[in-house]
Amino acid sequence: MGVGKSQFSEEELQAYQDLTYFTKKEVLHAHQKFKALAPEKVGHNRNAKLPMSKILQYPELRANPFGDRICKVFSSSQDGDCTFEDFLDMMSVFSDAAPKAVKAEHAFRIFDFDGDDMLGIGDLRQVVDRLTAPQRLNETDMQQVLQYILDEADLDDDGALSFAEFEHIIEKSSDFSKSFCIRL
Amino acid sequence: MPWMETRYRVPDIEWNGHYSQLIDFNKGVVPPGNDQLVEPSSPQPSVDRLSVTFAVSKDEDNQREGCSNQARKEDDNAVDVKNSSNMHRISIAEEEGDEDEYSASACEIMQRRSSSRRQSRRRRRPSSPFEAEATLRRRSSVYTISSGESTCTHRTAISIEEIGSQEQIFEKLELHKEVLSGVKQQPWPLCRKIKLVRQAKSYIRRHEGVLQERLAQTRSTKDAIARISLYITKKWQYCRRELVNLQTWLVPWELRIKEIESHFGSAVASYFTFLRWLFWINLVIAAILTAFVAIPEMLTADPAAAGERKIMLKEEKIKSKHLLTLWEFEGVLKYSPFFYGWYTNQDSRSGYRLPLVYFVTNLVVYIYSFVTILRKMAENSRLSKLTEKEDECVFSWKLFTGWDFMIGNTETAYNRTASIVLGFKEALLEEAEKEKDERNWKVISMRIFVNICVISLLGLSAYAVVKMVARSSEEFEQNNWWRQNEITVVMSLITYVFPIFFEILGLLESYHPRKQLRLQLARIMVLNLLNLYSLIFALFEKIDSMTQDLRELQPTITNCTYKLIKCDDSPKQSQQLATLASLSLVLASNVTGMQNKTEILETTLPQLSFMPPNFYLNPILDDKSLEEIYNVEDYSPLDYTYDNYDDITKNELNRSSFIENITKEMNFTTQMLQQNDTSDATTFTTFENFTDTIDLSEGIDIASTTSNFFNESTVSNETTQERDHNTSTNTDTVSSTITEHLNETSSIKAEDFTMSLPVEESNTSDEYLTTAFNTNTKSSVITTELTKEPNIETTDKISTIDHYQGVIPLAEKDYIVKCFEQICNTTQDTISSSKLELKTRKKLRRLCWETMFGQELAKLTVMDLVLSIVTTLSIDFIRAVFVRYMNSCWCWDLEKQFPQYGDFKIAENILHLVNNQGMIWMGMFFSPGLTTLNLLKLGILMYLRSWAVLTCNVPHEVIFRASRSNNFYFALLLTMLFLCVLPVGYAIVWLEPSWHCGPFSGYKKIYYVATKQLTDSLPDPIKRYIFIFYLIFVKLIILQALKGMIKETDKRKPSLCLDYIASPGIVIPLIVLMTLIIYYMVSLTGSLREANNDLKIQLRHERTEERRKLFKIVKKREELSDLSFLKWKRMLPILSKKSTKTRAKDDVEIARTDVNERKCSASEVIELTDMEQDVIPQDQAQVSENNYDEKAPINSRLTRISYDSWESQSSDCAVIPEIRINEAEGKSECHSRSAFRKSHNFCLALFFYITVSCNIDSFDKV
Repeated sequence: MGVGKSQFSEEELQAYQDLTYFTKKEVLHAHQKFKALAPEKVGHNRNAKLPMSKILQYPELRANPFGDRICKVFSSSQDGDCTFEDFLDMMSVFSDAAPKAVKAEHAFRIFDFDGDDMLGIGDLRQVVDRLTAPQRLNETDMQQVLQYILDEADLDDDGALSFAEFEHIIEKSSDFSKSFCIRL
Repeated sequence: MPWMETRYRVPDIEWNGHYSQLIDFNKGVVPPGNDQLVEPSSPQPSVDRLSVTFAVSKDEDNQREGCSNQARKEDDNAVDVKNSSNMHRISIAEEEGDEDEYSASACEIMQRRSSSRRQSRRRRRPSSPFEAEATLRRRSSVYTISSGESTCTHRTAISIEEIGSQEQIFEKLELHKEVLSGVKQQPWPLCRKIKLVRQAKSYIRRHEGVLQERLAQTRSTKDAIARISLYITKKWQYCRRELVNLQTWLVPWELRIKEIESHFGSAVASYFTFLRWLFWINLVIAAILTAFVAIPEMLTADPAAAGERKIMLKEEKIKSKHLLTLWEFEGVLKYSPFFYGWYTNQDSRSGYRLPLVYFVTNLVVYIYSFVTILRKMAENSRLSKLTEKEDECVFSWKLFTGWDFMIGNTETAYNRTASIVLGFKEALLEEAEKEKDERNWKVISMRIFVNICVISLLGLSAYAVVKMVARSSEEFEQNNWWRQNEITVVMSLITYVFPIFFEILGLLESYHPRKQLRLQLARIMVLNLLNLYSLIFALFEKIDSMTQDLRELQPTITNCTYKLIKCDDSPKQSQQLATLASLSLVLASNVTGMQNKTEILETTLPQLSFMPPNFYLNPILDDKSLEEIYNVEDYSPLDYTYDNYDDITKNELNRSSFIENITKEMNFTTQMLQQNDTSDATTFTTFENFTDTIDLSEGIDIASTTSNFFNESTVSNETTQERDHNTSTNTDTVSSTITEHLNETSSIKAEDFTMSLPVEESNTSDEYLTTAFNTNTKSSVITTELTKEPNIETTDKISTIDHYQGVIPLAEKDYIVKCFEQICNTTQDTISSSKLELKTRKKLRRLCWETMFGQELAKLTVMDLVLSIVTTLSIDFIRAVFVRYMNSCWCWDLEKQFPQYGDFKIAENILHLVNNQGMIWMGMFFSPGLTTLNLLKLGILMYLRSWAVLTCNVPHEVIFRASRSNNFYFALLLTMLFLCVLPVGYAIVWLEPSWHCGPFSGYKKIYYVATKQLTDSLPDPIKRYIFIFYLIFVKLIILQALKGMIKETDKRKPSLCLDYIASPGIVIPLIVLMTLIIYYMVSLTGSLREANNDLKIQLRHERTEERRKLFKIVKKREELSDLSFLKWKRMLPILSKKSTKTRAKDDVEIARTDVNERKCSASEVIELTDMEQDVIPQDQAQVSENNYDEKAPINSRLTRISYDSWESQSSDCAVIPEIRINEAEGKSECHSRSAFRKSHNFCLALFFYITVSCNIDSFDKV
């Protein structure tokens, strides 16, 4: 779209290409998507800050049980509101081209609800809860699941997963880089 | 301060490899006194990503800022000094705050990069005695000093030093560029990154400009090169980016796949990405084939030289565009670039070698397919480097990778959560029942039954296919549509119906769904392969019969004439040599002919696989003309010859005792004569016997005929002296002549071919054979009238029918040497079609087996497409419509119970694609248009499937993935490709192409086209040598074969099989495959190494993590103790006396005991704080945790006490985890090294196999 193009200077596009895993076309495409979330706002100011509720209208985020977490992690103001650059960053991390390490880092932050840089029991419980949202596991199952997870992943037996442990688990799974993807 | 010291020392350790000038600078500050610090034991455990991003503690930041501020200022000063005139330093001087951030970020990036670089160098950690101490020291400084700062100081160093030399600017630029390329990996918000990049860029621009100017001023070549390289890298980067941009513009079906992804998740979408990938491959193949084969043929080929290839008969023309004809791939399509038969075997007039190009292009395309698949596999394996067995971390994976982030549809999301819950429950159950292994006989017997059923089904399908093909070759005139299409219909039906049976049977087995799916996949794969292979075998059988038919029609090809030439005027030496050559080749041809012959009456051509076609002094072709000769004389040719032959053999058997006396060589030849029937040797003998039987004279025996045969050769060798020969030559002379002859043949090797070359050149297309007949005539006169059959249409070249009489008046008991020159014309392609009978022409047209092969596969492809459209419509669409609209008026819930909506079967569909691609690869060689057709098919499939999926399928409730990685599909595809190349290779190497159609007609084997071109293009001297070697080689083969034949005449069949295995058709693809596998393995080791590094990083990471944790705990404790201290202080006024007392007491106690036990000190603490009971438990706990920590900030006296008292203990404690980590690291390294060794071993094994197979090959030939 011509409109999308005129909104960015060549230099900006080059910078975006330097910083994300996107090509020019994809950057512009991302902007269109961003604009579609709130046409009137973005029309005025291409880098407008959209509230989290708007961002969550993006279909993949809406369906995602961690949608709000994702917004918060990527938001530059930490409250879930995103500017276009935040959005672009998000999409870039979720793109196919992003390396596993970057993805793992962000995944860790998404799953780390309390922000203590560790996935404790509480975090894990919340993750399970969100994943199984409407049905939910009963308490004994939940306990068992958490126990098994810690057995598998918690290498230093401190009752929580550090980033290193998390990354170790992720590294071994071939699915992760495929499932931790959002296509523009 | 000890910290600062280490901080300043660290840089020259880290960087002295890169920047030597640094050392000088740093030496000035701190003389590197400590040896253990200089020793490169990777001094800083890399404070990696996490600690950098999450745990940047405040004081660290401050320090860093301080340092970088300084650095920047110095830097700027330097810049100012340098270019004060033309500087436009805008942004940098303006925003100091940004500066700090910038340099901090840059430091982080650099530090990260350097750590990775350190790993890439793979330095082992030396375990020196200083290690413990060094570690301690390091530990004490670790947390406050990140190596980022070291980079920082280093940068300072650069900026101080830099003024002047360009290399330093270069280095700085490099640094900035590294920052630029590294910034992508950082998990920061984008705005920060943008700022960083802008600054780096402006810096680079500025300095690069300066640099350019400077470089422009100087004139040394080095500078010029540097300048050019700068320019080129810039342009190159730009171009690359543009290219990538272009690529993304070109990707088709992106939106469609995306939509499917959001509805069905990535598993279903993987089918479509696979389909798209296949589409690309086919596009490339089709483009290559069209551009290099089809289009040049259309433009440049000479239709006049094409013979029957490009014209349709009148009857054919009428129906040529009817749908049914097109459906059969007859008519217009048959006479189009689509099929093999259409291509000519003549080079175009412009010098484009069409047959060769056809061959080479196909070869290239096959190799391309191999390479792309393997490259893709290697790429994938690099992505999933650490994947292990899937049962390892079931729960964690379910949790962390369970959600497919691509899902954007609420219904799918709901399904997904359901499946996740189910998965969890199932995993729990499995975990609980892991131990239980009950054997249910009912289930086991059921499984046995199912397997029997499956095997019988497989057998049935193979049987059906073979039967169908056999039936199709039975009758020629079938107008019935069903009869013409039954092969394709039956095969497609099998591929569609049998999987359903398998699925039903699979349900009976009551396996775990995952295993069930896998079994199902394996069975379908086997079914497909079996089908394809039974089709191929049946087709090859059909081809066999077709080639026999063809040969019956073939006599028109060769016109052999016998010319009487004067022998008296000493035949040219060239002729003699040619004779000898031909004789040796007679031997050769006999040998090979016998290998392939089991029946005497069979008139198949010997398989002369090792002779270059231009060296065809092939006497074998003569037998046809010989028959004709007999024909003229009203003998029933076959009877005559073979009767005679029987006579010979009988005679020989009678005189076996006589023969036994003869030397071994003689034995060979008699054996040879006994067995051959179609060779020239028989020509001779029959000629001899011909006269004999006319006379019915007893005087001549077989021995003499054979001896005559050899005498002839000797006579022709020494024709200058006409020799009188006694008929009853005794054995001695026979053996002597034979040996003489053999000697001759062995001695000619050098001159032979150098001399015979001009002969070949003089009559280019004609094969030259001179035979010297020594006719022994007892009777008075023999009149031989040799005429050609009238119905033979001779070519333009020799249009005259040779008609000659040999009237030979002879005196009795005289030998007269008569020389016949036989000229065989083998220009087969220029048969004037008009003169052929219509019926034979019609028959011929159907007999082009290559085209038939291509047609069969093309038909299959189309039928497969039609069936897949039909099944999609019926099974998915109609069912969906029915369920949707009939649900309201039905007695049960259609949506939930019986028919339901269809779901998309990923695995089956992928197998279908793989199978289809296999068919394409198989048929590609014989029908270049097939790939284009397939391209169309894939496009249609793409749209059809995506439409069907989106309209009538529901997301699968439980998703069991067939395989965790995409490589599974590619492995299947690779297997398929390999298996499909085998029959094609067989056809190329082993079968004789039909003589009237296609680019390779006229060659004995298809691949001769390449060898011939190769030998033709070689310069003459080289060729000569090659021929000499070749001759020796041939002789070796002859001898070997003769020996072998005498020894074991029965073992022909196994040797045939072995021959095939050792033929180029097998060996070349095998070698290609193996090199590719080796390539794959090598890339795998690379990825394992990478994984090893990652593990190392993780370990380091873990260590810093631990430290950070402890640090945090200490901090908390500190606060708490501060708090307690405050409380304590508050109480102080009241209890000051007591407290000082206890403190003193503590000191004393510590000094006295000096025992560093936790209990002890804890008790002290208790003693200390006995006033506030509520604080104690907490405090104690923290103390007990604190015992790992050695670096507790010394704020209060209390902590100091504990710190002091634990100092020595902590050194122990600190070392232990270090050692543990080292061990773990060693283990990981071990692991990866063993993996590497494994793959290395495999490579070796492969090489070994290759050499062995090559040896077998050569051994078999020698």
